[in-house]
Amino acid sequence: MKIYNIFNKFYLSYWNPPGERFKLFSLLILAFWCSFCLIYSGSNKGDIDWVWIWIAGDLYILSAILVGFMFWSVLCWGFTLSMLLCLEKRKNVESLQSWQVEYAGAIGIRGLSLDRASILISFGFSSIEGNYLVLSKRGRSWGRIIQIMSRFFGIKI
Amino acid sequence: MGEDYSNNESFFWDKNMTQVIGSLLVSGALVILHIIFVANLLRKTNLLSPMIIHFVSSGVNLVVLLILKDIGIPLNLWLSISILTFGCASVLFLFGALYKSLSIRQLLITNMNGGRISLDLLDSNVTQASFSERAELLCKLGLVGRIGNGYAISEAGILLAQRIRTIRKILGITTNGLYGNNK
Repeated sequence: MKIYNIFNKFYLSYWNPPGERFKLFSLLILAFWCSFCLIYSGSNKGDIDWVWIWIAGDLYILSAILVGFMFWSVLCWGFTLSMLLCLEKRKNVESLQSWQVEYAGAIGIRGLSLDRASILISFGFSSIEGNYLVLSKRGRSWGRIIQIMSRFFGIKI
Repeated sequence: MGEDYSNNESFFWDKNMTQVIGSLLVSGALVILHIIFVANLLRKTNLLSPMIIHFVSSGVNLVVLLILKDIGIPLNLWLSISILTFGCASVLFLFGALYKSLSIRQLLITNMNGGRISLDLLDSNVTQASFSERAELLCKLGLVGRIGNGYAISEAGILLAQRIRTIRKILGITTNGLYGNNK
């Protein structure tokens, strides 16, 4: 019981931020693969080209991390998913506005906008000046690149 | 294929630089082919869902790789499949972000607006639009029903939401869908 409590405290309070947890375990798995290659490459030199095995393994692990993060981020911060979970809590809402308030708190839609803009701000792409969202130089050049990529993939904006 | 891995050849790895170079070139070319194939299909058809297009194209490229190995092109399968997998996964990740991310949509709209947008316009043109779009999607999937101006969750919606809650509980996720509340 005591061990369970310690585990619970450790796992659910210290490691709770899901983004941090994902990053930590991704790095741990990569570190495990690197040390595995280091140890085993020493024991059978010459037969096998370990550098390429190591690189290929890294690529497999990185692919799994990318695909895994898509599922993980949807489970943690997915927009449609969170909307569904909010509605499940209340069972029904009178309007779209009250649904937004249920999702993002008292300021509703503005709170949602600012929350999603916060990731742009943390990347240094934009800042809030008064009542405006203003892109930085970096934000504008990335905006251009992303626009070209969206058009390439046929995504309508 | 001659399945004789005696002496100097192993199934797992053959120390052969020609194969390494062959793998790098062929897999690189196949990743570029995948990107072109996916982009063309996405632009030209509305019949298939984007995810199916990605998976079909990845599978086709994998088959092409295996055929190339079979007709005797020097390839190391472990290395070439890893490059192809990583390429396809990166393209899928990039596409997913561009396709659904609200933050990237905000960035795009602000950029098209001359790099500066009022928060009111951002609310109405991006967030509100996405919100109603997704509400429509939930209605279309039969998870949510409309009652006049309001919305109510359906039986199927409750079932799915409970399943999602269980998965989140097992994984220790307690976020509320906002980046600000990362707990």
